[in-house]
Amino acid sequence: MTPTRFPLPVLGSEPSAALAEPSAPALVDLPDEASFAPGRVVGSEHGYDRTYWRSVEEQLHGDAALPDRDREFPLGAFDVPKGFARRDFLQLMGASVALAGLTACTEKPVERILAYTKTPNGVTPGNPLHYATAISRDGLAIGVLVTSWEGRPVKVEGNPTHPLNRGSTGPQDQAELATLYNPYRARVLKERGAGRSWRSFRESVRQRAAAWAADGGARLRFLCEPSSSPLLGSMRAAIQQRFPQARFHGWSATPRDTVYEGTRLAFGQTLEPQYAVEKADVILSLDADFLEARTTTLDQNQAFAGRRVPEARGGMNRLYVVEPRFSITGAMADHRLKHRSADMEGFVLALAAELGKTVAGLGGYGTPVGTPSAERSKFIAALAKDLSAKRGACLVMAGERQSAATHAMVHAINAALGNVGNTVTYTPPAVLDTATGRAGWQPLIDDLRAGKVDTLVVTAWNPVFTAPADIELGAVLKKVPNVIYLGPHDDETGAVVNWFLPAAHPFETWGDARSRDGTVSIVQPLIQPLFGGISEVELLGSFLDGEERKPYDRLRELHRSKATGDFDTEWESWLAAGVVPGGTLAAVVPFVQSDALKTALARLRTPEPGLELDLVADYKLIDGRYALNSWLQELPDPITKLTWDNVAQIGVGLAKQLEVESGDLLKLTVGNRSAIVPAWVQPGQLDEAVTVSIGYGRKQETLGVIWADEPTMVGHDVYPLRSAANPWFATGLKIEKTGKDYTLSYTQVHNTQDGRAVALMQDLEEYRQHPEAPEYRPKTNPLPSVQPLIEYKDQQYKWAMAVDMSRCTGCNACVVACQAENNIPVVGKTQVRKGREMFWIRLDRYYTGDPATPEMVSQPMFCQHCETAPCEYVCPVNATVHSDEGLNDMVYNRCIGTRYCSNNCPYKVRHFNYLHWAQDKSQVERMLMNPDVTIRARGVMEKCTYCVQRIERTRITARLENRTIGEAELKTACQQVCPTSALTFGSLHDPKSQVSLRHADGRRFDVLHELNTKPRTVYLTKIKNPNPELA
Amino acid sequence: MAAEHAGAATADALDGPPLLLGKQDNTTLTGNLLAHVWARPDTRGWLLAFTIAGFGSAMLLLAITVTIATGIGVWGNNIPVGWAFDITNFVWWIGIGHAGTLISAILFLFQQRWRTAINRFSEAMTIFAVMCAGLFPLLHTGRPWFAYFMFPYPSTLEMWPQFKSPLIWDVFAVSTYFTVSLLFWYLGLIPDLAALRDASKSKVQQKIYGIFALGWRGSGRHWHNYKVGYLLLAGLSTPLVVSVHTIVSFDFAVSVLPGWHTTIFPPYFVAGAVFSGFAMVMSWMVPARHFLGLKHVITERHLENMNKIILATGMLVSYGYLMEHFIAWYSGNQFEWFVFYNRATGPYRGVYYLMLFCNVLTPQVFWFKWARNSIPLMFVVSILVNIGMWCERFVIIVTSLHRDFLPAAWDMYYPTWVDITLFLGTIGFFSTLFLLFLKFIPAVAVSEVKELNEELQHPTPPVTVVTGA
Repeated sequence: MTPTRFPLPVLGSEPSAALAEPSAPALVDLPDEASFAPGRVVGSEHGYDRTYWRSVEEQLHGDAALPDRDREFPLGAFDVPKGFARRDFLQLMGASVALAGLTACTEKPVERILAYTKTPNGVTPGNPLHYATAISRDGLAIGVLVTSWEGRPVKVEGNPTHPLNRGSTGPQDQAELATLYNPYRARVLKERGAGRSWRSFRESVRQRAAAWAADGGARLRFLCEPSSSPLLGSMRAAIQQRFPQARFHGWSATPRDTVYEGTRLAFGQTLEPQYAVEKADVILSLDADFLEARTTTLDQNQAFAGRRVPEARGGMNRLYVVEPRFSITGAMADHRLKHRSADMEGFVLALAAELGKTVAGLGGYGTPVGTPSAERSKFIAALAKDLSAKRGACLVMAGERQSAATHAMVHAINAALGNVGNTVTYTPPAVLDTATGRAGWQPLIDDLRAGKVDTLVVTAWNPVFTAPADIELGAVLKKVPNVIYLGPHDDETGAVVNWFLPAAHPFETWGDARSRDGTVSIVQPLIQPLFGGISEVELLGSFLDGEERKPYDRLRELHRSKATGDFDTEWESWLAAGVVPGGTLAAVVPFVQSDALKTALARLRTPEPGLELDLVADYKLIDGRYALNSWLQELPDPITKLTWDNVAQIGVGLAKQLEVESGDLLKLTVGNRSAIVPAWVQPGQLDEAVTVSIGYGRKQETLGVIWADEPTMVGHDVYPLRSAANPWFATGLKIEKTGKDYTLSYTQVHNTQDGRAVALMQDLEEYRQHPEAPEYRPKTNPLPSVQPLIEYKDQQYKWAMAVDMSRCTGCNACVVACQAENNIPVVGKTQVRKGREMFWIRLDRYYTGDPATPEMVSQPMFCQHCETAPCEYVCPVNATVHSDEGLNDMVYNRCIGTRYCSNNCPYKVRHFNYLHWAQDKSQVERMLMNPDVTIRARGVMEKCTYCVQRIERTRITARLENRTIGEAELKTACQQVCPTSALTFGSLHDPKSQVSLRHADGRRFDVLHELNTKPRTVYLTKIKNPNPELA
Repeated sequence: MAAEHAGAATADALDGPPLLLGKQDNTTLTGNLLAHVWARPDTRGWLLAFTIAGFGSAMLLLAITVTIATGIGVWGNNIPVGWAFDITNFVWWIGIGHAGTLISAILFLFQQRWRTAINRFSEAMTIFAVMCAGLFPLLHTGRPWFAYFMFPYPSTLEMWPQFKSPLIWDVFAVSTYFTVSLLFWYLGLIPDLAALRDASKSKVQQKIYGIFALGWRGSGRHWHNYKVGYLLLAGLSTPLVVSVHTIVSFDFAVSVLPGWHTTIFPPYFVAGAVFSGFAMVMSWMVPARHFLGLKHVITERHLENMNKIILATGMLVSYGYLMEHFIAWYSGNQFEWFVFYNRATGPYRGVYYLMLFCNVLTPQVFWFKWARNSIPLMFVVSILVNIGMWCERFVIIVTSLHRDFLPAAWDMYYPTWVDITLFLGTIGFFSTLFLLFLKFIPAVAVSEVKELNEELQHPTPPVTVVTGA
């Protein structure tokens, strides 16, 4: 179902041209000119300014009027070229008989190219432009710059001027374009499965509006995706004004409710904690995975990493983590305590009691429930001592999965330790929806069940799929007379609604969003809606009286008041900068209402002992919304290194006790709910808890796609295990073995260093005393070499990289950034299992110590650009050669694919195109390709190039200006994205450059230096800062 | 017993069994050595064998088509295991080719009479084995249609191959080896082709054999030139016996990979090549001499001598294993030591122990004379040695690659049906060629056997060495 046509990107100074609007109302669905609007056939192929159509269906919906719905899994997942079809074989045999000489008679398929007849202002063909916009997650935004080639967005980068993320992005943000160009996005506006126009939808709303106006909208409800958009806020207010009885409810599968409930419990008001991690000397995370490079935590990543090096101003910080699973944050911890989620309240009370001995204001919060283990007591004693010694410069954080009581106690502890105003401040929340969990939607469900609703507008992502099993949302929705769903795919929710509206991607629409700190960004469209999607603003607009207005106009009108001078001038500067000034939220100083808190805490019940189920948001798919994003599906999980699947993570001890191995299919049962999930024996996982990530196992039958040959390869849905009462964890988990096996694909088979000095780690004290140790850290390469020595003195640049392993969390952002920048193909689960994944960056993850309580070190491994490269001399055809500036270049055209270079690469960082991964890409997917980078053919070796295309592009600019390349203007894709600045790139000829400084750092070591490869990429030892009392 | 033997006059207790059985003269030899060429092609055994071998060749063609049409991805290779069955098969086949050259060139120069009856046979095997081997370097490239980049042709891009790469050395070594072996074999064939021409039973046969006989009339001048040429080619071939497998071993030894980066590889590979080559000749000779009625020219003496060589080269190979392991331990290099530890204890240990059993233990039976003379036993041993030598190449290539320096990059290799079909297909292709050879060309160098017969019947008196006064 390759689309044969799609709208061309809109270019020009009038971005609003992207949205053609109907001008005259029409009462019936006739193919009049008006319904060309969001309905939508755009452009003409066969003539100028005229569109010819074959049927009414096609006219209304274009090629999208196809019977099938979207695919369960992304393109490229399973349709790798496999096998060799009988037809191909016969064709080939036939061809070899029919034979040569006739080749000149071949008729090539017709492919059209279109030239600019008029070049839009500001566009130089071949030079990309960058547009500032924003990406939101859980309603909270970060600023991004999107690289656009002739109107075609191909790369997302963080906006360096945005105060929150300051240039960094996370893996999901990087992969957003793979979602934009997903050819299986919904294209057709449907009423009960039949194609309709946007006009007829508006008409149906208009007809119902009379009834709502009569009763004040008492039977109208909205179920919203969490948002911070001032525009949506104002529109909701306008709808509320028109229909005072209508209600807006929030819905999220990853609700942040407990954060706000916690502040309400502690302070009596709904507040957003804003952490200043950079000011904290000691940090305690209670299951707060703040080092995951999620859109909402990027600033904390940066702040943490800045204090993670021995030379950090203020010294190195110390991180304690208490959690049931082995998370990214846990992997970075100096001390980690495995702990059930259910007992977290007990932990925090015990900590408060211990702190209360030395710190005022923490008495009387109750006694910890349960009998603590000796390990926990020792941990708490040392931790309390450390925290109280750093009053005002320490920080306690609780994760979103934890209860409101835990959050409230954390606020009380922070307040007592004098951290409020220092390491943590409080502001009003930037999001509109502070209740997106049960508190948000339970009233709605009750009303739906009671039949009090006749129209429900759903803009939340796929609630039928993400709903806790016990509310049976699908069945409930079927009974509602009129359900309208705006979604990116015609998914599980789309199957039960009356009206399905294809949603426009945020990169296709105008809008706005706020960051956690309140910073407002304008969301600019980068491209005209590819599949005629509708934005939430347009949808809400149809519930307002009067003429339909363009989102662009609404947005400008809303923000007009913020201009201090000429609005148009300022508007353009906001668009250019990506930030609207003056949005930052002012901090409030709240006071702990200890009596109310104590009353609430007194109601806490002792959790039941036994096995606990922990559901977590997935590191890749989050709640499942990226299930069709092949980049994220194939991305190895930062801890397990699994691709394409979720698993039940089981502790080493429990696995031994149950005699379970990774890949055994288990039946997990909580109460009367159960799910089948493959087991994964995870070092560092608590034995009393099983962790499973949500978002996998989208139902094939719902999506109308059957993967006949590989029916089991879609992950496993664990939403059925969720309860409305506690979406994240539950005690009383029962595990049964099904006796069946399941095939898992993972990218790292061996998990320890086997005593090899590969990824070095040292304690801070040890490093201070013996900065030269470990002995295997050479400063120079004294070994003789048969290869000619080149000094690299005559060249202007000497490119090199340095990786600070102390900063690296293994978050995966660089891996996806590299994939986006370098057109790295997705190969699918089967091929990953065969060991053919193509990621140029391999995040090597090694465990050390006891498997029950391991430490982890993450080592990004990519081409080391060795000065005496073993790959180069073995290539028979000179396909991999050294550049003057020290790059190990790969000449794809010359490569014949002997794979000798890979065999001889000690780092195994080369990747081979075993099959033609790039073939059969649809036209939409082809739009995703970076035109600066070659698409590699079958049979060709590839690897990290230090983003040579970026070097050359920058060189052109610098040469035109007759100067050398500055350090700040040239960043590799991985370096640019890194939320912790673990990667640096630059020229070693510039002694002041970051990379030169790191190359001269005392912690520097060369991986496998004894091979005398003289790598240009060097590593800095990971330093840990343990508490001597817990040693 | 001695009276029956043509060579009884020179028989010596130390000489062992005779080289020719029965009273032979030129007529009988011409008759019985060419007999299998004139036999009707529908000889049931031959036809059955040819059908099976032909099926193997067809499967090879299928596997090649699938590989080229779809990509190397139809194999099990991955990263880190970039080479697996492909190069294993290549090295195995190249090794098998070594017996031919050794027998025809080196044994000729050392005037070993027993080579005479088996040289044609083993030279043919050399050529067919190198043909099978040559498929793999071509097929294993990701883009075989650009494999010509490996030749130093005058390119408008002024690009040359990379002469530092052992793969380029391979290209030259193997192609030279193939050319010289083919010429050597063909030169030796000329008198026999002329004999076939003269004995032809139809015009067509006569014409075809006549063309290939290049107008040989058996004049003294012809014989003189022939002998000189043969000697020269034998001299040329001799260094090739050593050089080809040395260079093949450089494919590994020149790399930095533990388990490959070893100075012992050249001699150890050459010994292994001769070992496997003799085993392969044995595997074919035992049935061939039986079915083609060649027992009187390929006698137990020949077989026993070959078994001795198998034992000797097997011991060399075993020594190679021993030294490899010793040096890995003695060097104190953890990567190097791990490779050998992993071979013995890792996931491919089964192949490793099979290799040790076949290559180290099995040939030891040839210390016993009864074993060297037992035809069923030597056949079994030769098959086992072939298996063992294939395992050796697999162990060297795959176990070294699958777990090298960085543990995070480790992975496993599993062959696919295409890998296995390609391998078995080459055996089928080899057998096809070999059966065709048996059908159209005398399996034994008739002229040389006649010459040997003359020599045995009219022995030159032993040279008396006079020492001192």
